[in-house]
Amino acid sequence: MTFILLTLIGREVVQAGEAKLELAWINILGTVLTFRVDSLSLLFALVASLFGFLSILYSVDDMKGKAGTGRYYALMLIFTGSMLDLFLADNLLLFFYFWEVVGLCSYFLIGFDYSAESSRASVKALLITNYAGAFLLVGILLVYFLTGTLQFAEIDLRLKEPMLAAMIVSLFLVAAVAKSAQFPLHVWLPDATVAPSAVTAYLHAAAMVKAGLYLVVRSYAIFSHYLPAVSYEFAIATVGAVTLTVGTMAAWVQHDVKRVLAFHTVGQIGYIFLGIGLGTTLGVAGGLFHFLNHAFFKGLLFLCAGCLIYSTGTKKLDQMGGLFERMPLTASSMLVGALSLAGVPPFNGFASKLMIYEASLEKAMVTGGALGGVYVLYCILAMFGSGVSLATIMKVINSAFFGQLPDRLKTVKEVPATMYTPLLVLSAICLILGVAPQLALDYFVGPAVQVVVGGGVKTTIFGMVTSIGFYEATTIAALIFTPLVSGIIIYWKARPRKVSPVEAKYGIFVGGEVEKPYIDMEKVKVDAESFTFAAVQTFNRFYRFMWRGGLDRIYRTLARNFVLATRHVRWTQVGVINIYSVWVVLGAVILMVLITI
Amino acid sequence: MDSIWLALVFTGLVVLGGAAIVVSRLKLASVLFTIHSAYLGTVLFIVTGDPEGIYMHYLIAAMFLWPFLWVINRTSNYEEPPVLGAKASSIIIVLIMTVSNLFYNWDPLQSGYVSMIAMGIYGMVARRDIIKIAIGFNLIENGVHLFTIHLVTFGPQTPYIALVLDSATILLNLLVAWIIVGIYEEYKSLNSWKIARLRW
Repeated sequence: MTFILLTLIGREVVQAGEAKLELAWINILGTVLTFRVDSLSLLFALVASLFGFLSILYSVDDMKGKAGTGRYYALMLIFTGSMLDLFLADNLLLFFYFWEVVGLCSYFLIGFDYSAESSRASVKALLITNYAGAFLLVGILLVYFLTGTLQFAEIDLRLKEPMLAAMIVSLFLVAAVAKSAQFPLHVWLPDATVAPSAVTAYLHAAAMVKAGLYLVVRSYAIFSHYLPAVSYEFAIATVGAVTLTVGTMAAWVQHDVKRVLAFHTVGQIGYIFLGIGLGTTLGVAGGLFHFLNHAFFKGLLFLCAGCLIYSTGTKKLDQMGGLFERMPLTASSMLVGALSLAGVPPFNGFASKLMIYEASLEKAMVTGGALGGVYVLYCILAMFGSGVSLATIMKVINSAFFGQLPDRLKTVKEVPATMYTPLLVLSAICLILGVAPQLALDYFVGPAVQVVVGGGVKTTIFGMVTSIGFYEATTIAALIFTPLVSGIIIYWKARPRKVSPVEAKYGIFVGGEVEKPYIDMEKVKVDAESFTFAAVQTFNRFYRFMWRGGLDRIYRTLARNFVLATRHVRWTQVGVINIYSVWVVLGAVILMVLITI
Repeated sequence: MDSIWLALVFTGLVVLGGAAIVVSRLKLASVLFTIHSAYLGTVLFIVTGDPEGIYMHYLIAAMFLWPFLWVINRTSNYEEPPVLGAKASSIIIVLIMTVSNLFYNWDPLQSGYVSMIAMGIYGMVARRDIIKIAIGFNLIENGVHLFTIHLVTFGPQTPYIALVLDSATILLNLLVAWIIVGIYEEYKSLNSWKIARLRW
């Protein structure tokens, strides 16, 4: 219903530029609480509402018979509502409120089953995102003291100290990096996959991680012309480039289907950061288009992973195999999602990644010099990341759907209709956006880009034109699908109706391997670890560094120092409400004394 | 005559709140607090003519009594031993009322909200039973509501603040009631000192 209403409002937004709902509230803060739908918020809100619906539809069967479903649906609805409000808020105070509600909902949903593993994951997510949220709060207070307003539209007009804009966006960027699981604050996201499948899909596709992204884009739209473009944009692009490399490399060696996808989310959001950080019309368009595409293919992949877990009862890729025949709809959908994620034409991921590659090269040409070289390096990293993504996702497909079917999975069958319907819808969207990216660029991404950088994306009937090239997606799709479909038809029509006597006697001749030993591919299983063996050997140093603690050492050092620094105040945390009440009263008294002085 | 009448009304309000803190039977304490809250709504309606007070406080009263009686039926009707007993608590509450009246020169409104907030804080600090702590918290909220009525001369936005506070209190009471049952099921106690192991 929300999605339909938003679509109706969307027509209004396209015609009038924006739709606004103003609710006069605490005027004492010199501000009013306003909801506004412009092209940018519409893009994010449409995705959030659509995924909210699909996730809840998927949960109907996935959560059937599990304990605490009332709590689950209540939290999911609050989560979806808060995400929508966050994207539609036209006021930083309101935005921050929903930012925190979203964090709290994800905390409850990640720790849904109360197990030790999920409790740790939920606390980790809450701590990282909330500590970083404190930076957002400081930034908001700074905005208020500098401008006297918290309205998005008025901040820009009233900003008297443009030099401090850099400080504000830096504070916002820290909060966004944590919320969007960007390097080096990405560590909470892979652990959060212990949540129910629909929650994970929603969290990765349209919720939490996209909230940080929205903050970056929105603050970029407000503050970009006050900032020294080189440093700010470069910071976002660098975060993106490093994250996409670390995320995809880490995904390559995971053997848990949900963790593979979670690390890929880290990497794919890195692509979006890179696109937006380039700051050009093409870059921002590529970033926002990849946001839209990522929502669809990642939501699809997580729901497929949920179907696999639902049917097999395991998340371990090594314990799956040969499921293609048992779960053809899930397998086909996962293949569509995987090819989209890897950026294979004509799927949607390719179109947006191509825009980001081209935007990097365009930026390199415009910037020139050493910095230009760095942007070329980012482009190479992005392409390398796509290659790694393809290798990773093929490992998932191979381990889950091909090879020998384990004995304990002989009775597995396709998931119920409520679970595969969202898969079919999302697969269709991935294909449509890949074959005709001009539709999304014209109606959703283009107007949003207009809000952020004021430029537009040039599209044609069959694709798009960029400053350094073109991509005729529909034509290319026709070129790919025509021989493919023709081949399938010819194969189908020309298939042998009956087995010849020679073939029946000696079997099909495939190269002479009639006698044993020969490799019967249907009885051989290349497990996930063997699949990545060569990769690990090639990038031995990187993985050895990671496995020996790598980044964890930095986190542990930070944690140890934090504990040391706070050891003198730890005695205040006794866990007794009465004592905490005393602290609250003491704090209030000290505040009153300070105010009086 | 009017001022004596007003003083009596507010004294009754404060005494009811204080009694809810002192009484050791939890059902009785909850009923007393409910009467206090409904009484406050009525007083606010009479003093300000604003129907918001009566709507919200009757709602608070109902939404307090219903979940908390549900909780008490599932836990225990007897309060966990407090830090200070009934006699000492009664003396402290009378002291709070007297000092606040003396400080505010027997102004019923100002001494009323100060007394209610102070008694609520006392309840939160000195009672070990979580239900009593919740009553103390609600008493503070009622005192703050009265304070916003005092502030009303400063701007038209104060009723909105009161409305938000009241709505938050209603939601918080439901949440607290739900959490209390969970704590009792896990620890078989509502003593705030015994459930300190809740720390992660």
